[in-house]
Amino acid sequence: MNLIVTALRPEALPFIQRLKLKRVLSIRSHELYRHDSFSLIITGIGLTQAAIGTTLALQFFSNQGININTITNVGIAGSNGDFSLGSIVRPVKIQNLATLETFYPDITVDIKAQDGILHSSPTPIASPDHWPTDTIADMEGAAFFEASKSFLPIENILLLKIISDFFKPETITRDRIEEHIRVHTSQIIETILTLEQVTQKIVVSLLTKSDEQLLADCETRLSLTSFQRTTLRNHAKQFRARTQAPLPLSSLLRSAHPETKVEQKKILQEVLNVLAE
Amino acid sequence: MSLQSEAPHTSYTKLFSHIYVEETAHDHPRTKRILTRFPKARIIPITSYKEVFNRYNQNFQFQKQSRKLILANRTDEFLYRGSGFAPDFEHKNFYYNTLALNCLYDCEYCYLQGMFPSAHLVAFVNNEGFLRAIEERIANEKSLYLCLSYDTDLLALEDLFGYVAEWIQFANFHPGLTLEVRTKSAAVQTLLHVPPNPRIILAWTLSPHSIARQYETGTPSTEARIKAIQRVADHGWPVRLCLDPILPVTNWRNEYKDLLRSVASVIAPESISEISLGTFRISSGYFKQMKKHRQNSSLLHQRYEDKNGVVSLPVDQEQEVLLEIKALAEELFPREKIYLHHAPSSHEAL
Repeated sequence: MNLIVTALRPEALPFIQRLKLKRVLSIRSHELYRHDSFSLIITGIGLTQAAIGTTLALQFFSNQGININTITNVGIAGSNGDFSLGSIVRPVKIQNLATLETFYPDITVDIKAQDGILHSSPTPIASPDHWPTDTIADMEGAAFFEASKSFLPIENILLLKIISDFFKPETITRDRIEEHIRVHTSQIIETILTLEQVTQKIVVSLLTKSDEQLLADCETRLSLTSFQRTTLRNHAKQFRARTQAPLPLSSLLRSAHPETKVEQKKILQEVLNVLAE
Repeated sequence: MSLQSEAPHTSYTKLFSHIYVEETAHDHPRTKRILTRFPKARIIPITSYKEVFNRYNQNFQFQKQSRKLILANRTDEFLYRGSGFAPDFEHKNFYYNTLALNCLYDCEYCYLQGMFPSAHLVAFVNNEGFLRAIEERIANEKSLYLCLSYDTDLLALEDLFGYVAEWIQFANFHPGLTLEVRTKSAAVQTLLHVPPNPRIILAWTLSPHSIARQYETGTPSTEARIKAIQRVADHGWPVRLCLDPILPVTNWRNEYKDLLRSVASVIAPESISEISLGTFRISSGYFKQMKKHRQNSSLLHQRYEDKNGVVSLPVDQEQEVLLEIKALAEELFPREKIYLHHAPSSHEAL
């Protein structure tokens, strides 16, 4: 599952329509949507709202046993003119202007966006006197990142900011925001899918799907404890590393119906012996 | 348009496409020199290298696909006592330092992937601080054996950082200092432009072709390394050969026999100061991390023993491998030059 986090409805609408997302009605405090491999939450404006909304969505899916592969904050940001209006920026450094904490997102995956530094402010920034070069401003990014990294590896977290104004927040309208995001919707979805693909590719196990099924079957039949499951998996991986052959457990498991703990332990030991041969 | 038609193409940012620079290292001449080599790199200012390097929940293997450079100033810990896992070759006052963290290569058995939270390459630009620390220690201890290239491969990075040349020059003026520069690199130009020093030992890690190809991604081929050794040996440098870790792959006896013969056929035994033989051994904490990052590694998921916090081959296998390779080496090189290194738990057995 890929989770998109936006602060505003106009930022979310192009994705809701494009990905045919449906509202999750069991969540009432926030607008949470999902369909197929995408989901989206609208957090509301500001650092606190961003942290709450991000955490709520991640916890919701975690409770459902749904794995979040990527999480992306999509939203508008202000610039002093270093970036053109409507351009898409990937923050390589994020500073929370409320706490002065700094965060560094992962930049391993090549994406079609300019690099910038993001300052997340608790209040809107209008016409600042001095503003650092290549730096943009929003009101959520830092809190989104801080909340996300508690749940996910940093390489699965992405921020994409679209320049909406040159520190003139009063010029921003709902329609303009939606328009800015809609221009980039395809590109953002493609980027998210790229990130998902690349991060998934790196987690390759020695065990095949059928090995995993066999191990799951074994775990269920023998009601293994957590320690026993770990031992079994280590033996299975060692067997695969040594032989490159499928796990030879099917026939052994077919007849395995332990009724006592002693029987369970005996069968498990037989399984481990087979894998150790 | 379906999502499938938006199918992504896999692409990583380029090596060192982004360079993190500590504010205190920004104006250092070495920083400026290094940055001129990467005119297109995006420079990201940081307060401390640890902000990036020590981030929580990083994936070492993922970052290896596109490493970034971090330029920093070392402010303390310029010198460490040698660890029990590393051979001291009977030198007392055995130390190592860390001018850089991480390496350009990607060896499947490398302990760095278990030790460091990040695969990005950190270079401490203030070499003068390291030199000063050694100078002070030599004044106290009179003699000192220093391994320069433990948590990195400095020779492979010489073109970029230039540390090896500076340390050779430093050692020439400090008779109490013996240096070891361990490497898998074949880039030896620096060493051919200066007179050899018997107190600077160039140590090459060598593996048979099949192992280098399969488990030492990004390294020069075994042939290239042997050729590099030949060139520096012919120039008069003392060379240490490190067959460490010896991996008991299929047909390992023949593989290592061929390797030793290849070396002996081109390098005179008198050019070799030591031959160091060791099997895979690592702290169990690091090993756990390594397996986590390389879940598809058949090498790391072999059967190993964990004794007293040290993961190694089962004792019987370790003995068999070490003694057989030692016997092979003794056929070609003087016995007194051959050193065995094994997991601390199996000292007694050997």
